[in-house]
Amino acid sequence: MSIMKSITIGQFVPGDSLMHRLDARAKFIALIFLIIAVFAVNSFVGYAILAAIIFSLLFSSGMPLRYFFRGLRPVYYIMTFTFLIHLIFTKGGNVLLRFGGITVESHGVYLGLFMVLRIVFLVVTTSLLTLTTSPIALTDALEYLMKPLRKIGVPAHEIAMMMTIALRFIPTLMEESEKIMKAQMARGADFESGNIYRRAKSLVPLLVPLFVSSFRRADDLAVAMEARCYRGGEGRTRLNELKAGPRDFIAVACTILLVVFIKWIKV
Amino acid sequence: MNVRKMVTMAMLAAVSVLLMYLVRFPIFPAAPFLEYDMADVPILIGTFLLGPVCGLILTVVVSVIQAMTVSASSTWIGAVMHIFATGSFVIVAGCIYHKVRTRIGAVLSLVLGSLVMTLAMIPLNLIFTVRFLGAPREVVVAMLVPTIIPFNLIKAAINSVITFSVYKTVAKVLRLQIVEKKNQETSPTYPA
Repeated sequence: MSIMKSITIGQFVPGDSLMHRLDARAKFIALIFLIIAVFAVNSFVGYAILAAIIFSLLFSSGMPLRYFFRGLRPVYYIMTFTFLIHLIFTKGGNVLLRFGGITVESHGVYLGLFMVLRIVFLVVTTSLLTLTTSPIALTDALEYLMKPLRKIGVPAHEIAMMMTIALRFIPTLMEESEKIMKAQMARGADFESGNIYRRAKSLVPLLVPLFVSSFRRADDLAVAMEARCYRGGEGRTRLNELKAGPRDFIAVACTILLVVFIKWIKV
Repeated sequence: MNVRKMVTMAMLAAVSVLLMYLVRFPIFPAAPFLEYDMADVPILIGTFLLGPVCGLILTVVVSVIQAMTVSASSTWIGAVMHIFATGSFVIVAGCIYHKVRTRIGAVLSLVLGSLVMTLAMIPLNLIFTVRFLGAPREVVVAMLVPTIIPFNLIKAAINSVITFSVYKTVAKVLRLQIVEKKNQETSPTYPA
């Protein structure tokens, strides 16, 4: 188990670029349309167009490109796996390689590369949102976008509030868990050896104190909130209001046009 | 929804995301992207404490935070799959335990919940992995029996065992905390 090297939760990097200044709600909706665009494309020409657009967005965020590609590291496995599967199992086109009973055919290479690119685009566009938007702004945006769901009984405000509280307390609880872990290790607890079941089971002495301390914190926080007359979302005012300007509408409109364009020219 | 309940749920969500950070390792060396994680344990404890609806809300909260932070790489597909998988587990387990609040009820709810989640993962994998991650359908079908089904069963089973062994203690502590609060409220001590 790796002890947390960096306690930063999330990937947000503060900045003042155009991407940073866009309204979180607009970015959220734009991201959804960008993802639809990624799925709508079905040729490499379409991907070239998308790549040009996405790369210019990446540059406009003013962040080093490696930040975006760092997000790809955890999906290397899935990417290689997808590629290999297509290489071996997708048949059609010219035979490129013959290796014992296995043949590699051109359709396999084509589809494999295509799917790998799709994963790259999905990850990079999502990073574009999470790198330029603070988690708090994101939860506020979610609350706003979930408002219509309140009619069918979804507690939009409460859900957003829970996310905000959880995000605030993850680093605190992380410190706490490190302390508990060291305390249990001093008592001879072993977190690293044994099979999966043994390893998971060894975490129980870590979990119980972690739950207990988190409940204690919850209790304190609930008292503090009640003392400040917190009573839910109705009529609540905010320190940082979300404000949508013309450029936010333009951004959303552009992504919608992109989807329409891709569907129209069928690339 | 009262404030205390909401804050407790928020903390459980925080613990869940934290556990996802701390504990994740692949179960099968052959399929390293199928990683075991413990995120479901706090969600299940929340479900037992507060009921299936709260469990479902917790699942949504955890999945969205997960998509925004820890595993932004699995993007929204991962989050949606997590909501459906854990959601089905939570609804089944929560409804049963809500009716039968005994040790046997807990075991039954966890076993049935695990089975339902494993079943739910079959169509989910066929839809999401095929449609969105681009794995060919035949390959996913071929992977179902040797990897996907056992993976989900093992994961759900381990999480169930841990939940079962942790829940009683945690619930007792929480109840004790509430009793302590009440005692303080009924007999205030004023300085002389």
